[in-house]
Amino acid sequence: MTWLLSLLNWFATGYGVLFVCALAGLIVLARDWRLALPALFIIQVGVAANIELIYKIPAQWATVQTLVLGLCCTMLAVAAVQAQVTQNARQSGGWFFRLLVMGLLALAWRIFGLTIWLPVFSSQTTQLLAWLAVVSILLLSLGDHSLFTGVALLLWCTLAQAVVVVLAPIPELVAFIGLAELLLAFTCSYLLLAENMPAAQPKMVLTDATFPTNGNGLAPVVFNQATAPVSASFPAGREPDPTKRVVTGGSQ
Amino acid sequence: MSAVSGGLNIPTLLLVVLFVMAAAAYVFRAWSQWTALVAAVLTGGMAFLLWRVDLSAPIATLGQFSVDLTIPIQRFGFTLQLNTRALLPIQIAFAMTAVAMLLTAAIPQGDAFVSLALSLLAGYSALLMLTGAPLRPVLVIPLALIILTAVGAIALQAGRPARTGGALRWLVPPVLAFPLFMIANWYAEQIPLNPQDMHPVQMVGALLSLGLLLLMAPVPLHSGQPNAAQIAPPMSTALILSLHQLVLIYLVAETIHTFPMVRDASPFALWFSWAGLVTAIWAGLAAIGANHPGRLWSYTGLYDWGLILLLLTMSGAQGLSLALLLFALRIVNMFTAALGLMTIERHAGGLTPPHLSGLASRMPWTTALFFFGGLGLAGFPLTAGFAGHWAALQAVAQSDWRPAAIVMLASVGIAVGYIRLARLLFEPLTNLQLRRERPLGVITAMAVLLLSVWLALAPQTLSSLVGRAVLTLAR
Repeated sequence: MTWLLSLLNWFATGYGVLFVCALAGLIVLARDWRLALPALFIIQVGVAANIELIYKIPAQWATVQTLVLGLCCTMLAVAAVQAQVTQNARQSGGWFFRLLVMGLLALAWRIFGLTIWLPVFSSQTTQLLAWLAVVSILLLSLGDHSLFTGVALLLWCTLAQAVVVVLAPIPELVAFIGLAELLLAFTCSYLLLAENMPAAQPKMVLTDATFPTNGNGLAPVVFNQATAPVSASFPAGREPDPTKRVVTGGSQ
Repeated sequence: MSAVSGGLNIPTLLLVVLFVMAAAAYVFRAWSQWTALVAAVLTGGMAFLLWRVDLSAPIATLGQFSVDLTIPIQRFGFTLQLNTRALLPIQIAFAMTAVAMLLTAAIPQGDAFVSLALSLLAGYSALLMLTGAPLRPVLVIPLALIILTAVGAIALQAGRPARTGGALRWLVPPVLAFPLFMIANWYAEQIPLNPQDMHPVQMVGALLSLGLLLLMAPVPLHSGQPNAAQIAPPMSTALILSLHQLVLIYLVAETIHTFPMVRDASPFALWFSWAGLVTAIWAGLAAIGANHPGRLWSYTGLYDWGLILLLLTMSGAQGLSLALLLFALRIVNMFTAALGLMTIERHAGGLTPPHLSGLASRMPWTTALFFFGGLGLAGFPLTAGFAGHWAALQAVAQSDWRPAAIVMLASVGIAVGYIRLARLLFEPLTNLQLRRERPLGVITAMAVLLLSVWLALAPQTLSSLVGRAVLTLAR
C-alpha cells in the first residue's frame, strides 16, 4: 500500500500535474478509445489525489469519484467493443492537424498571457483545471463521435467535481454529480451503439426468384447424400423419361 | 365536521404516479399506441386537477378529509413543494405532455417515447417544485438539467440507427454551464462577509449571466436542435424542447428574483441581447439552405428563440410578459408543425426530398399544418405567432430600431426556406402510391388550423394565462 500512497502523493507534485496535462493532450492527439479511456481514468485519479492532498478533502469522496468514473469508462469501453469502433472513426483531420491546433492553443495562451483565477485554488491547480477545460472543449470541437464526446463531457465533469468539492463541499452535491456522470456515460454508450447499429433489412421471403444459387454469391443448397431426393440420384443430362415405365423387378 | 388528515403529499403523489406510469409504459412498449392513449388520459386528468388547484386556499376537502396541498417533502437535503411560482409552469408541462401523448397514440414516435416522456415530465416537475436544496435551488437546477438532457438525448435518438450528432450536442450546454453556478455560489457566500466590496457581487452577476446564457443554447451552441430535428421523431423533438425551454425561462426568472445583481450589476442584458440577435440572424441565414423540413422547422424555432432572448433583456414586466406570450404561442406553433411533420413522415415514409416531391397534392391539409406551424414561429400574418412577434418587435424598436429591423430582415431567410420547400411539395408527384389523407386526419388538421387562425385573430385569448404567469414570476 505504501507504493500506492507514494504514487498518489506524486500527483500533487509539479511532475504529477505535468503528467496529467500531458495525458489530457494525448487523448486529443491519439484519438484512440483504447488510450483515451485509461487516460481519462488516470486523469481522474491524479486530479482527485491532487485535490485530496492539497485541499484536505475527505478520502472517501475522492475514492467514490474515482470509482464512478471507472464505471463510466467501463461502460464506454464495453460499448466501443460492441460497436467495433475504429481508430479513424469520424475524426476531424489527422494527428498532425490536432498537434498543430494544440500547439496554436498553447502559443496563444503564452502570448496573450491568459490568466484564469479560481478562488481558493492555487495557481498550479488552476492551471491544471484550465488545461483540462481547454482539452475538453477541443475534444468537443474536433468531431461529434459519441465516445469522444462522452470522454470530453466526463473530463469536464472531472474538473467540475474538483471545483465543487473545494468550493461547496456538500456530500449530496458530490453524489448528484456522480449520478450525472453515470447518466452521461450511459447516454453516450447508447448513442455509440445506436450509431453503429446496422439498419434493419426487410426479411427476404424465399421464392423461385430469390432461391439462393451459386451465381448470386449466396451459399448453394447442399443435399446430404443419405437424405437426397430421388431426382438428385440421376446424373446430369440423364433425367428419367416420364413417358417410359420404370421397371422395378416385380411382375406388372 | 372534517377530520384533519394532512398526509397527502402532492410532490410525492405526482412523481410516484408519473414514474409508475413510465415503468408500465416501458414494460408494455410493444403496444405503444395504447400506452400513449392511457398516458394521455392520465396526464390530461392530472393537468385538469392541477388547473383546479387554488394555492391561496391550500386546504382542500376530500369528503371527510382535509388535505394541505402545500405539504413539502424532504429527502437527501432537497425539498419539493407545490408552490404558487411553480404551479402554472407545471400545469403547462402536464398539458403539453397530454397533447403529445394523444397525438402519439395516433402516430407512434418510438417504442420508448411514452416512457421517456413521462420520466422527463416527472423530472422537470420535480425541478419546478424544488424549494430547498443544499445550495439555493436555482444553483442546483443546472446540475439536474444534465440528468434530464441525458434522458432527453436517448428519447431524441429514439433507437433510430442514424447519426447521433443532434443528441450528443443536446448534452453539451448544461454540462458546460453548471460549474459556473457552483463558483457563483462561493462568491455569493462572500457577500455578507464584506458588504462594501462590490467584486463578489459583480462576479456573481457575471457568472450567473454566463451560465444562463450557456443553458439557453444560443448560436453557436444551438446545433443540437436542428440536428436532432432532422433525425428525431417530430413530436419527440417538440415535447422535449418545449419542456426544457419552459424550465429554462422559469430558471431565468427565478435567478433574477433570487440574485437581483444578475440584472443590475452584470452584462446580462448586453450578452443576452447580442446572443438573441446573432441567433435570429443565423437562423434566418441557415433556413435559406435547409433542405430537410425538420431542420427548416428547427431553424424557424431558433429564430423565435432568439427573439425571446432579446425580450428577456427588457426590464420591467413588459419584457417578461411579451417573452411569456411569445413562448405560449411558440408551444402552439411547435406542436402544430410537429403534427404536420409526423403525419407526413408516416405517410411518405421519410422526410428527404424524394419522399416529399409532390406530396402536397395528396396531403394538402397536413402540408398546411406544417406551414402554419412553421411560419407561425416566424410570426407571419394569419398565423398564431403573428400578434406576439409584432408586439415584440414594436417593444424592441421602442428602445432601438436597429435590432428590430435586423430581426425582421432575418425572417426573409425563413420565408425563402419555406418557399423552397413549397416548390418541392407542390411539384409533380413522383410517388404515385402515396395515400391520400384520412378523414380523421383532415378533421384534426382543420381543427388545429382553426385554433391557429383563432390565436392569430384573437391573441388576447392567452392574456389571462400570460398575466397570471407574469404576476407569479415577476414579483
